Amino acid sequence: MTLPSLLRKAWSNLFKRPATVQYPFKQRLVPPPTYRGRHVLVRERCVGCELCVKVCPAFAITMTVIEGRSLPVIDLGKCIFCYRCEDACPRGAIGRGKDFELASWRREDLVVR
Amino acid sequence: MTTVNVIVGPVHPALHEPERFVFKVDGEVVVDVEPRIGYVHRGIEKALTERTFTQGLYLIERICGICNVAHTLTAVQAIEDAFGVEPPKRAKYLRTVVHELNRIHSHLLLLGVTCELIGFDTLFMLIWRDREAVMDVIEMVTGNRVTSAYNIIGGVRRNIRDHEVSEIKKVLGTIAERVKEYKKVFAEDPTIRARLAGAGRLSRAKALALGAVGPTARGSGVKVDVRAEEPYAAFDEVPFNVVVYEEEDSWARLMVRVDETLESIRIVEECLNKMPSGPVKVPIPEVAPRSSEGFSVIEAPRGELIHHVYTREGDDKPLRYRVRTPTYANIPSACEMLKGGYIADIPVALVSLDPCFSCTDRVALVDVGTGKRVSIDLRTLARRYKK
Repeated sequence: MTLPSLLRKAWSNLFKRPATVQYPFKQRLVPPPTYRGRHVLVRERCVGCELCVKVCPAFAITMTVIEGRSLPVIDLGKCIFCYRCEDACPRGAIGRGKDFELASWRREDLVVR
Repeated sequence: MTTVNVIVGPVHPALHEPERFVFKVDGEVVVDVEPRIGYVHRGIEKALTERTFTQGLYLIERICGICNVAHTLTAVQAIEDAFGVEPPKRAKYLRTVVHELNRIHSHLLLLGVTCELIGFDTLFMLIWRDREAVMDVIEMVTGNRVTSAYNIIGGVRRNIRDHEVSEIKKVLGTIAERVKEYKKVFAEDPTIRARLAGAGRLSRAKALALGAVGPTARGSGVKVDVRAEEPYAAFDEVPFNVVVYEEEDSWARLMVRVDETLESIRIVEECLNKMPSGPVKVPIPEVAPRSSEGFSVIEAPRGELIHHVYTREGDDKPLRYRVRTPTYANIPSACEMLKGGYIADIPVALVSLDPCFSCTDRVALVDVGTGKRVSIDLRTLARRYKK
């Protein structure tokens, strides 16, 4: 019977740095710039065309009257982070965000407005 | 001969997904298998007819999380077929790149799962460490680790940039080296050989007769690969080898995946080198331009995947959508490979199939009194229970 060839590798790995990271207490993770995280809404640019509402596959966007204007509100509890809304927006009012740490105790925190 | 029924599932520690199997055993030997698929049926085909084509894509992506790119790729090809749209050449190459990256991470996942199942935890950890690098590359290119949302009707959503190309090449170079090492381990390690060789035997004749697809068929010496037979995306311009093993057992099916991973890495590198310039998407109509049907078949990581769509002119939703997933086609072969084996070989044989049960599940009604199974369409079902 031959000696398992993985034995040497397993032994040498004992003295190497672990592949896992000490998230979140010692090391934070930074997603790449192309990442799809929590949206950034720019209210000044929105024209209230409702294209994002129509295109959303998860029915997560609703139009709500805020300060007298009809503006999109994204429910992150329903959102699947496909960023169709970003593609659809003609004025660039829905922007990319890199925030992925979205856990919360309250549903109201999961609303982007 | 008296047999004992051993019921495995729907929820069972040896299964990674809920599915029910009844094994009729005589002592330690499995005599007969009765699968009952349908436990996690999700009604996606029906739900797709109530969504627009673009919205449906994100539901299609969730048919299977692991091979999500394969599902969206088949879907967009089927819908493009129905619409009569041709995607640009660069989009086809980008689709191939992401599709093959998806295959690499899917195969590495299965190799790791198998190692864990047979108790070889060191190799499991090492393989999954490398899989993570591929996931990071996918995240960089598409924007998400798992549900990539990359393919759209008429092209792809994002272009690839030069620094991403060099990053992919760098990562795949390291992975290729490591997979070659693992290949040596899988081929030579006495523990792995002793556990996997001979377990879950599926003869070539049976694989052909039962219509096995994907690595299951190729592990039994059947040379079938949609990429070679009916090239889609950029596969008609990228040469590659179809991996076939003749050993007909679980070990052969795993070795097919190890070799295919290396082959996929070569395909990605070739695609990146030959990448044509040009646009990545063409505009497509919102509603179906004609009443037609679209059909697409591709080689998903688990085998042949078929999407079939019917469209009606002026309608933005599909009239009927049909998905045939690879595991569904492999269920008869799975039953065959379990017969005659030991109970202890069941997990190994099942995992060598790379089963994806939630893709597979269909609705069937069973008359408890007579034990008769009937398939029924949703409309009749709704009528019957509406009262």
